[in-house]
Amino acid sequence: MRRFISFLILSFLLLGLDFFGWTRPIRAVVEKGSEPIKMGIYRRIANSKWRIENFKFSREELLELKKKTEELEREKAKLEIENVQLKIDNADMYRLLQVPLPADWKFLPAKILGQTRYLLINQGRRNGVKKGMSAVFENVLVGIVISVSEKSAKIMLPLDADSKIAVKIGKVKGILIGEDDRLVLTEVLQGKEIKADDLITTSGENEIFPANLLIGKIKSVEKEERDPYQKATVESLVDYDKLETVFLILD
Amino acid sequence: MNFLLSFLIVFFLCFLQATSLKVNFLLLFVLLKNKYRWAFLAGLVLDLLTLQRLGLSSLLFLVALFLFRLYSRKYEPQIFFLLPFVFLASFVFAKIESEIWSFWQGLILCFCLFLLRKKFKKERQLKLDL
Repeated sequence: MRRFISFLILSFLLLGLDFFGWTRPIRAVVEKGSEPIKMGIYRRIANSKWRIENFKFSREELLELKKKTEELEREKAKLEIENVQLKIDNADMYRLLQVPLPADWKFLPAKILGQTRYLLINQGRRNGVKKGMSAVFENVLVGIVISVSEKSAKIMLPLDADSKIAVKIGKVKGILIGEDDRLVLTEVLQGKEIKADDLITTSGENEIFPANLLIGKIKSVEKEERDPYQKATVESLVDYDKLETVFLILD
Repeated sequence: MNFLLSFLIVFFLCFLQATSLKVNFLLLFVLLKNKYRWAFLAGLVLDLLTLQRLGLSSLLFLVALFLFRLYSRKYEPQIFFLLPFVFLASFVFAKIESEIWSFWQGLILCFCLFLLRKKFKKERQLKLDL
């Protein structure tokens, strides 16, 4: 019992110290040291997940895949020779430069260290990350920074149950929310026309996210006569599970 | 040796839970170890790796272990107590730490607990022998 109480007091003490930010130096050291391990584990698991999801049991399919792989290997070798000039250090940054985002925006690239409810990234307060910053990949919104420590930060995805984003589909306005691990478009008035494959962008209305960032496209629309609003399921334009890098929009 | 192994398990589980694992296996580990220092240490490492408030997980693990021990002191931990206890504890833990919790995660944890039930009994037996 005495041990329980002493550890309990110690926990409360730590909570207090953390609340006032006095544990930052320890956190910084731990975050720096654990970063490569986290990144390694996350990538390994993300790759295995992809492999399991795409595993086929049929022998014919495997043979066909083998044949295709050989063909692709040949093609790859050919393309590698033809595209030597396109080799750049950071392919993601290169792709980012190709998309029509305002030229005066500044980005901070961040590697993903983990994903449970939120995305864990390897940039924090020391790199200029602040709570409320938007994260993008190419010109697609990935989420918002919800907590920052010295060398890491957490990003809330649009899929999250607490996420609520003001969006527009052309001129039609609505709210995009996360529901059961999927994106749902709500609060679109019945009279407004929305259809499958329509692109959804941020409206910039609540000033949390910059306007005109892509999020996803409409998969299907549900209309109920009694309900004043239409509902639609939305497909994200990025696969959050496969992301390895995101870009934070600096103020 | 035992200490080192447990330490490695804590680190391994903490890293997994910080990067991709959504099931709280660390809770199971803490209950299995049945020692407050492990509850505190596991929580501390988990908080450091997940950017959680430092001390919060320790506090939750300590309370969970305290309740578990309170029951174990009087009765031998039976599976009909352990299963709902772990299920409920994982739910409360996820809600307080604002992590994802689903029915399946609770079930997976219960299934693992079911597999480890003999280990729980053995731990208690060892204590009684001592």
